[in-house]
Amino acid sequence: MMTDLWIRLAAVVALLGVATLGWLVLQHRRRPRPVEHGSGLEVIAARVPVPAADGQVVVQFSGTHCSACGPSARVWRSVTSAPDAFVEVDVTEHLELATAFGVLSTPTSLVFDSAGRLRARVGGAPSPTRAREALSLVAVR
Amino acid sequence: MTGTTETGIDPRGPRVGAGITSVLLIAVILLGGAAGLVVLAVVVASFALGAAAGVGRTWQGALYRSVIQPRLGPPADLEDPAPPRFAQAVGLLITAAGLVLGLLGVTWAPPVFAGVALVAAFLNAVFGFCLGCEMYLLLRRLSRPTVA
Repeated sequence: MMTDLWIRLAAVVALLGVATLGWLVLQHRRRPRPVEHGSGLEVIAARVPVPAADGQVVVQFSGTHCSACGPSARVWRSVTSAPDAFVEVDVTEHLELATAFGVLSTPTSLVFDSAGRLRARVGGAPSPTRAREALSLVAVR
Repeated sequence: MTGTTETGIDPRGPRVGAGITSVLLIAVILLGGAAGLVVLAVVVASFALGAAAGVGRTWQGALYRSVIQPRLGPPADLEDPAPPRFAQAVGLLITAAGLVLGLLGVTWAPPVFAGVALVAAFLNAVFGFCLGCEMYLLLRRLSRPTVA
């Protein structure tokens, strides 16, 4: 009976360990990364109103059942400044845009440069540091 | 979401609730047998309450507001209550499947389904990661492939 309990306890510890490891791997894979070739902002602008911006445009794909999307949008709004624009696209309304940009989960954010070219991609809700990192990936080019 | 109003729930509430649920699910796995089923039934009932009335009206939500929130102070931001409610429905589906199979005599089912729910609840509690959100769009895209 005691050994049975130890086996169960080990299973719980292993399960939580694997879950944590999976989360860490996912976080690493979702760090801001530059995009070489991708669809342009005009694909999104054709379907969703995109405010005119002289700087970078951040487009966040959000969903109805997404609890991380609100906080993520707040982070983007806090790090983007005047010439930049921030746009949210609801994936339930625009599944075709999610497909076009290969978005598999919400929130996923795309950073476009001032010419409307896709330059960086961030998966999940970024920390302010990561969000700035993504914007700087675009700025240096 | 676009156009969300600034009224909502304290986002730390559902995370504390997920922590409490995680502890109960660990108890389900450790206890096993009839005792495990009883604890699993409590979890299923809690998820049912959360899915039907919203996370703010569960006993975990009440416990958070009366014991923990007064010590933390007011939240910095409020959150839309719809996503955590959806998560409660997903949790209900998984744990109810384990409970029903367990009652039908499938002895491996309660700990396995409790384990699946535990992963989701644990990630939500510790990292604020929402497994339901991740699955939602993936399932939508798989069920209705569209060409842009």
